[in-house]
Amino acid sequence: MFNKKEDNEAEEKPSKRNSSSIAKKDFVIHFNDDHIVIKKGDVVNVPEKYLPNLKTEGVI
Amino acid sequence: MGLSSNRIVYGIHSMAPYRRSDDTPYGIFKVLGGGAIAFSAETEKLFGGSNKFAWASESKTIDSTFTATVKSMPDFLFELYLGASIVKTASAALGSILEVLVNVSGTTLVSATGVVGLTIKAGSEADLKDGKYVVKAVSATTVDVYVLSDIAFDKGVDAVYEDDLLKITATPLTIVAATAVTIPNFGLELTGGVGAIAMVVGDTAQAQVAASHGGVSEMTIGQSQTNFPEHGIVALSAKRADQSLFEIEMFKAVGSGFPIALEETVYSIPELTIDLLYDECVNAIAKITATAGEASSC
Repeated sequence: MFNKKEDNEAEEKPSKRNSSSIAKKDFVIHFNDDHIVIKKGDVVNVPEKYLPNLKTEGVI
Repeated sequence: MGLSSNRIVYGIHSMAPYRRSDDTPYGIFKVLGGGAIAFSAETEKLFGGSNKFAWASESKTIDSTFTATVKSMPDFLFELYLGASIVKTASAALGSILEVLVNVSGTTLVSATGVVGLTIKAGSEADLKDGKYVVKAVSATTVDVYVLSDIAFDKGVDAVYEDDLLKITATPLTIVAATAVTIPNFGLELTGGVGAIAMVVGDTAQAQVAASHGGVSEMTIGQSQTNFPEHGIVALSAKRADQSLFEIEMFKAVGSGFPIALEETVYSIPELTIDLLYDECVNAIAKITATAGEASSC
């Protein structure tokens, strides 16, 4: 669940997104203007730069 | 021709310690509460027979001490009387990172897979807040930040503690590789390492930050190489109405310690106790120079 900058989503390049994973646990990304709340079972749809973090944290 | 004018000494004007190696001054104390030189002799008295009073007396050792009450705290006060090593940071309108972020517990927080630095965020310097900052890994890729005083939380954007543990981050900050994350409202940012972020939960690091300032002195006390330097002192009483001067020069002084009081609504006024030693170079402990004023002759 990506709850910030929705208005700008159209501007994001498709390659910068990953929407194929299901969150294995709750997690919050708080990075500058981004505050992204991920709930277990949600489809993870976050900027690509956060994917390594989510892998490390065992979210995806 | 009559009697000379009485030599009357009043008050204290200044006290200037100087280096014995070349006589250059450390500085000058001007905000003084007082200074007193004291010679305390131990005597050996000879009693004998039925006489209740001593037949003779000889001085044995003489304890020579200078005590001073100082009401200001220049750097050299700490250097001379606490053996402190001093690091000065020049004035900086945009603030300073006085001590860079270094690991305290564990080794992963400040690392290539953690945070590579705490820096001032360009354009947000006005939001800097002075203090000791502690960064703690709360997961493999997130950190919380703590500050050990809120004394400067009113600088720039106001800040508040988030909890009783002095945390300033409402939500743990995500550390992203090779990218800076802002510590909101504090004018600082943490830059992620170059590799995949993977810190050990609980690892901590600390840094010291100064907001816009006119110069900072960091005086470290109690190091293993602590030394209390011998020095000379020139102290003067206040200049009298008749323009007379009274100066005491102490050639070889050494002090070791004074209290630093932080009391509610009270100025910190330490009292120095300084031993005066025999200076073999000048064959003396001290010298008094009393200068009569021009208007003092009768």
